[in-house]
Amino acid sequence: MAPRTFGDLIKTGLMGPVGKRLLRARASYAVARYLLNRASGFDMESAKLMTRFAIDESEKAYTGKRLGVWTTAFFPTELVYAAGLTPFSPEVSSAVAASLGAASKFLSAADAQWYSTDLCSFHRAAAGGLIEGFLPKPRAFLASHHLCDGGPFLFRNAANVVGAPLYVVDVPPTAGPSDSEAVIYVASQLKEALALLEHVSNKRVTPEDLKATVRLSNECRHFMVQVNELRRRRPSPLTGVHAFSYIYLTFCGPGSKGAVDVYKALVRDIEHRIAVPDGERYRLLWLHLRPYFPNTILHHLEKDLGAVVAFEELNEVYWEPLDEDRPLESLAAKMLSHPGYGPVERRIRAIIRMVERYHIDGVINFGNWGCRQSTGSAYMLKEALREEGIPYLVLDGDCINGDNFSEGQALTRIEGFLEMLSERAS
Amino acid sequence: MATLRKYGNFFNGVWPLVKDLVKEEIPLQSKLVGWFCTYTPLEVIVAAGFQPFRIFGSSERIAEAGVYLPPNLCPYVRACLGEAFLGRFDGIAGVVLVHSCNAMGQLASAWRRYTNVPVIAEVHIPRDSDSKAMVYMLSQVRSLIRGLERAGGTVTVDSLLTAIRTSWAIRAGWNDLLAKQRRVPAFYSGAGLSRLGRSLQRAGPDQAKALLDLPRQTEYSDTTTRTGNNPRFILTGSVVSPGLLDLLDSVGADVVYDETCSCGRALFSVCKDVKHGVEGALLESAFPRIDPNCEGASELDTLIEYLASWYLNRIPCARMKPAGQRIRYLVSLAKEYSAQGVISSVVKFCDPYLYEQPLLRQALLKEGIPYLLIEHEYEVVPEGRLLTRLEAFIEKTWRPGRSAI
Repeated sequence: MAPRTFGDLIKTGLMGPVGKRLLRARASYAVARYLLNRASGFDMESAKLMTRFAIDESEKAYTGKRLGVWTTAFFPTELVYAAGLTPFSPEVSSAVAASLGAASKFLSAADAQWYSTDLCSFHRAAAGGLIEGFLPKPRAFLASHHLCDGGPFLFRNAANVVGAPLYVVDVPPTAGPSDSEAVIYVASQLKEALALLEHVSNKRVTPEDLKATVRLSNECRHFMVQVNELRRRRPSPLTGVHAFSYIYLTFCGPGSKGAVDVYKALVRDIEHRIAVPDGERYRLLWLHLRPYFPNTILHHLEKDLGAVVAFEELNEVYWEPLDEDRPLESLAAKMLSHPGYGPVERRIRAIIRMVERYHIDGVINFGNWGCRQSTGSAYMLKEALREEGIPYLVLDGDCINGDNFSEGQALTRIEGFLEMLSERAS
Repeated sequence: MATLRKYGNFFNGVWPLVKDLVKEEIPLQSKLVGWFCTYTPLEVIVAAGFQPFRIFGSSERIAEAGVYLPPNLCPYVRACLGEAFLGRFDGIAGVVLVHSCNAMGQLASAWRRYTNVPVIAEVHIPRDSDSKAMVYMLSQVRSLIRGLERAGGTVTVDSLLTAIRTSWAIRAGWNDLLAKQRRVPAFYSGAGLSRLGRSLQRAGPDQAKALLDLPRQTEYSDTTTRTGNNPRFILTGSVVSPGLLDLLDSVGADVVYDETCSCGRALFSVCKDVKHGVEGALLESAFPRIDPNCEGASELDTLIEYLASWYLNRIPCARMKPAGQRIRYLVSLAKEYSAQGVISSVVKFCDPYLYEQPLLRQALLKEGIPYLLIEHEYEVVPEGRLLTRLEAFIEKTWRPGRSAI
């Protein structure tokens, strides 16, 4: 069957026999931009802008138009942009591969190289993607240990394969941003990470360069706050089906002009959608990420059952505005203030705050099999939220590996959960 | 168990005495401080007037722990929480939690919420050993001291110096035992030595010295039943229960060096005067400023700095930043101990050691060192499939008379 949508065209091209070559050909990105401009399937301008941003950044990373470095989720990409480099998130690439139906090929390649099936499937798929030649080889690897151990360990292995330098930022979990010793410790590592980026880019990063990217990061934050403020409305003007996509920008966007443009457009998009009746019956808060392989969970939840994902944990703006005059210290404080890292009480407080702020009826925690951070605290969250009278459902599954997820079982559990919400409401 | 009978001189002779000694030496419960990770600066705990004891966990109440920690989280961590539910730690001074990985971080949260065992301190061990990491490590050791002082302890220059020297004596004694494992045939059974190593981690200083003396007595040495025909292996990896060592003994494999979290890594020595230790040799050249005798240390800060430096500069475990040093160390261990192969024992869901596998396997195979990975649920039981894998690995790697690596 001939491809019909923009997504289908991308899928057909990349997964075909010349997919790897297409990824490294500049013409592919020119064609993608042409098709994007003609595409009519986007109901939001911001989504189109974000796709454009993804195409541009992928082109830089894959074709060498600009030197690329791999970054783990939550690594401060402001430093990368300040050095004139392109961040590439292998975790995002795993999600893309899953959505294109290619993850199983990558997972098998990783299995063959002794990556245990109990490890995070985002990282296993990334390892497989690198082995299979689908991911761009970077000039450096930059990782941070906050939230996730898997990313830095994957990067250690990948750096060994590629032969590129690696820098891992060690972030103390017990400390918060008020712990000055921890801030100094993390900031001093960021300084070294920046030195590595300068070496890779052969460019000296001036204080003005850093100020510029920090300013862009703050500008992005400003619009993110606006978006989140608008999402408090009933009915929800932006639901999970769309909102999950923007998490990509929290991984790769901070410090870029592109991310600012997307969020600015998103504010406009949401303002136009406010008060559009959509049959909202329940408002849910979604913890962690969603399954990215083709599935109907979110669609069924939001369109058929009227239970909208009014907010996602990973879209929360948890950090204070960065200080342009103290960029490294304020980036360190941002890293240390992540509510998902450190004592579980931090995450519990953040969730309760989100439940109140976004008028949430129930919380769904999607337990990605290999994720120790999110699933590790799933049951502690359950008890704490029960004490607060907040309905909570753990949905065990896998974000990348469709073979490790039973959609029917998940739907049954979701329907049971919604029945419980219905009984509470009545 | 057949092997325990076969190699019974050491194990059967010593183990009852070990148990008695450990039992006798346990002081007032209120003086005990539990610890989990081998990066815990134990000397500070001793100096404060407490007795550190390693928490190994128990599978008895692991199901109950599973209510709070999910099944896809490290079983060792769940076993530790389960052991707390058994009430074994009731009345102790507290525990020192180390955030060594995501799973230990979750244990810290669960421990505070669901047990009544006090937390003396939560320590973050930096993953590197450079000057920045050193500064942060110092702050963590000082934080531990503050926690111990809140629990009624006092750390002085004299008490810390004594604790460091005692610790070195124990580590040196352990090294002496290991030296005999280089002989062919190995002097002690792997299971016996590993059990002794575990006991050392729960013993007070005096009892530790007595424990180390036991195998030195000739009546407990095992020179009669070993023939030199047993295949020799290095055991590495995360925490492991003695069940795996027993199983290896039962199939006739000599674990000549147990480098796991449960044993060797807790008793490492980088002491300058241990001339025969590969770990000493490797680190001595890299970090010459470490002085195990701490002569001239007159201020507490100097001693704290020494300790912080020593813990950060040991042969790293899999969580630490440089992977190469650890892998080179394993290769050198295999050669020095004339091992026929390396067995990696990794508790399920242990990210640091599972992610290490591709690199470790590649490095060992490049050196021509046979390698076997065993993933397990912490409490290893002798089941058929595992037994078959072990036997197959031994058959593949060893023939009588075949030379070592």
